[in-house]
Amino acid sequence: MAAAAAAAEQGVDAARKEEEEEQVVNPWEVSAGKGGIDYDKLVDQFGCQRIDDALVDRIARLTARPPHCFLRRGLFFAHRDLNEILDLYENGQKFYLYTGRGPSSEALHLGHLIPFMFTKYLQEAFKVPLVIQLTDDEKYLWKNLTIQESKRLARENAKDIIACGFDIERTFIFSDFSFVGGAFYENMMQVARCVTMNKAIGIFGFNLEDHIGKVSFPPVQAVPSFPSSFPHLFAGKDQLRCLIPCAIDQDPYFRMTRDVAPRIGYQKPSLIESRFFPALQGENTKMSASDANSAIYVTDSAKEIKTKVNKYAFSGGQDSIELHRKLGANLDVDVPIKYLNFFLEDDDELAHIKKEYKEGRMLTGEVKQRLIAVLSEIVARHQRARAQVTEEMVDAFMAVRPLPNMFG
Amino acid sequence: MDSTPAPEAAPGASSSATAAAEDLAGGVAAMTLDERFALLRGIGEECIQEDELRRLLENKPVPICYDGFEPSGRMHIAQGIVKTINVNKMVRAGCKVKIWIADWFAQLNNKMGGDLKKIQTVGRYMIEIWKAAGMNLDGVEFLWSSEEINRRAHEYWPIVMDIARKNNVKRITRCCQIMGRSDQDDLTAAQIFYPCMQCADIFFLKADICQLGMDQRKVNVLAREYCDYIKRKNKPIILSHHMLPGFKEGQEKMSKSDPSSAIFMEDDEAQVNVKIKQAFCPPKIVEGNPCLEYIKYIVFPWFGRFEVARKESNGGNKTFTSMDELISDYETGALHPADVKPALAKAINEILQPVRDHFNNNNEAKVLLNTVKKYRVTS
Repeated sequence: MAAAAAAAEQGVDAARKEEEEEQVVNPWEVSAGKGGIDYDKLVDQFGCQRIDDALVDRIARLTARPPHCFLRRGLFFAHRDLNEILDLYENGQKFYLYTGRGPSSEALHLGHLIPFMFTKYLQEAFKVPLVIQLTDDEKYLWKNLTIQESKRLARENAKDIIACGFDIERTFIFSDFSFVGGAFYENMMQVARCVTMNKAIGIFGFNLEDHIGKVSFPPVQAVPSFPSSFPHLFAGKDQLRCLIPCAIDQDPYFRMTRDVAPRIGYQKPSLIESRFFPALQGENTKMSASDANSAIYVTDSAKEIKTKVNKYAFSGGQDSIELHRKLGANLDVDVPIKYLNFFLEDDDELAHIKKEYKEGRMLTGEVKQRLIAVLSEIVARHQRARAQVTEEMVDAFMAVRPLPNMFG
Repeated sequence: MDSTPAPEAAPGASSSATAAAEDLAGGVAAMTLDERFALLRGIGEECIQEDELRRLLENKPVPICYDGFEPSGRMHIAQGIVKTINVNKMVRAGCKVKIWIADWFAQLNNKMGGDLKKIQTVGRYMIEIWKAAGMNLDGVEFLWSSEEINRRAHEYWPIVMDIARKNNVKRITRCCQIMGRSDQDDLTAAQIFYPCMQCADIFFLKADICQLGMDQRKVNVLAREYCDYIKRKNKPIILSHHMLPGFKEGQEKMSKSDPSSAIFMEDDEAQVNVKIKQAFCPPKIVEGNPCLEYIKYIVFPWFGRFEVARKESNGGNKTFTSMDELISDYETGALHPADVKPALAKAINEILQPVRDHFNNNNEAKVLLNTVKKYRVTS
C-alpha cells in the first residue's frame, strides 16, 4: 500500500496554475491547485461518504473510549460503508483490519506514521486482528531498486511499524515478495480476470508505455481485503468483513476491489480515509523524501525539529507584531496549527491556542514553540521504541502463524 | 501457468521475541518522563546528579547505560539477580545497556591466576546465568574489554594517557582502595594503572549513565572531574546502587571467598535453606539486618510481595505488599525472625530455580558450569 509514500513523494505540484480546474489524485500521482487539495470535491468525485460528528460519537459509544484525536479533528474525514462495520460490531460480530506501506526508503516522516498510529488505535479499541502488507514488489516495479534492496527496506519499515506498539497476538506483517502464493495468489488471479485493461487505464491512469509489471500489480493490493487470502488466520471465515484505514489517494484501488468482491463471492471492504499530511512549507508544497526540510523525520533530533519548524513551517501570522495584534493569524494556511490539530491531544489547550492566535494575542513564535515540544516528544518516543525492535521481533511478527486470541 | 505452492511457514517466533514485542507495545514508548526517571532513580542509592539525569532522559531518546564486572570465581546473588533486576529496569526506561566484561582488568587484578582464557570462560558462564535468570537481552550489549580495546586501540589509549596525565598519583591512589588495600607501599603498578583504565572505559563506551555499586563510586567521580579538565559539558551521571551486606553480623559486603556470607547462584535448595537459617537476623532490629536487606532488594523487586507462612498462634499467614509494611511489623515484634527466614528461603529458591533448571537441562550450560567448577578445584 503506497498511501503514505504517495503523500510523501508526489504531494502537491506547485507548478499547477491557479485556474487549473482538474486535480489529480490516484495512488501514484497527487496534484492540485494553489489552495491545496479540495477535499470536498474529492469526496464528491470519488463517491465516498463523509465522516460526521454522529459517526464519531457512535464509534466512541461502541468502543467505550474517547475517539482518537485523528477522528475528532477530521484528519480521517471520509469512509465507505463504515456504518456497516459498526452495525456488525454492535451485533457482536467481528471484522479485521488491513493496512500497509510501500517501503520506498528508510526516511520515514511523521506523515508515514499517521496511518499506523490510527490503525493501532482501531486495533486496541475494537480488539480485532490486523494484517499489514509491505508492498516491496510494488517499489521494485516503480522505483530503481533491486529486489534485495526492496526486501531490505521492507524489513526496515517493518521495524518502524512494530515500534508503533502493535499487539503481536493480533498482528501479521508480511512482505509481498515473501508471502505471495497459495490462496493469496488464487485470489489475485480471480481479481485479475475481472478487470479489463480499459478499466485499469481508467482507474490507475496506465498507458501503453508502462511495463506490464505495473499493470499486473493492482490485484496484489486488492486481495488482502479478502479473508481467504490468509488461510492461516481466517480459515472458514470467508465472509469476514475487512476495514481499511488509508489515505484518500488509495481509494481507486479499493473502488476496484469493492467492484470485484461480490462477483467472486466476497464482502466489499470498508474504508476509513484520511487527508494528506501537509509539508512544512504548506499545503501546496511537495512533501518529498529527498527534501529534508519539507518534513519532520522520525530520525530527527530535537534540535533538528526545532530548526525545521522555526525556519520552514509556513506561518499564517502577520508580517509585523503590530499588524498581527490587529488582524490575527490566518489559521487556514498556518502549518503549525494544522500539525497541532493532529498531534496535540488536549482539546482545551488546542482550542485556546487557536483562539488566541486567531485574535492576535498569541504570536507565531509561541505556537511554533509549543509544536516543537509536542513533536519532539512524539519523535523521541518513537526512537526509544524503535531502538528496542530486534530482527527476532520482526521475524516474530512476520511468521506465518495462527493468531488464536485475535478476537479475544 | 500452474499456481505456485503456498509459502512454507516461517520459523516459529521465538518466545523471547514475542515477549519483547508485547513489552514494547505497553512499555517504554508510553511511559512519561517522570515514570522513566523514577524507574532509573530507584535503582541507585545515590544519584550524581538528579537534575542531570532528568535532563538526559528528556533530551536523548536512547541513553547509554554502562555496567561492568570482572569475571572471577563464583557469582553471588547480588551479581546474578540484583543486576538482572537493575538491567531490566534500565531497558524498560528506554536505555541501551552496555555490559563491560572486564576480562583484561581481571587479569590486571591477578584473578584466575592471570589466565585470560580461564577468565573469559568464567565471563561466558556469568552471561549464561543472566540469560537463565531472565535478563532482557534485547536491550543489552555485552562487550569484552580485551576485544574492544584491541579493536579500537587508537581511541582507547589516548584517553587513558590523558587521564593519567591530568591526575597525580595521590588522586589515583585513592581510587585504588576499591581493591581492598590501603597501604600504598603494597600497590603494584597494575593497581595504579587500573583506575585510569576504568575511568577511560566510561568515555570509550560513550556512556551517559554509569550504573555500578557504591564501591565503584570513586572512579566514577574521577570521570566527572576529568570532564571539568577537558571542559566537557555532558558529564556521565553516576547511579550507585546499594551493596547488599553479608549474612554475618557486621559483614558489610558479600564475600566470594567466604561461602556462608552469601547466597551464590549455584547454591542448591538445601544450601540456601542452611545459609539463611544461620544468617544474622536480630529480632525487632532493621538496621544492618541482612535478611531484611535481601527482602528489600531482591524479593520485593522480583515478586512485588513477600509471603509469610505462620502458625495461627503466631499470627497466621500474611502477604506483605510493601517493604514499609514489613518493617513496621518487624519493629513491633509482630513479625519474628523464625517466620521471616523460611519465607525468605522459599522466595530465594523460587527465584533461583529457573537458573538451576537451565544448568541441569541445557548441555552447553552444563559443560560451562563443569569447566568453571574445575577451575575452582585447581586454583
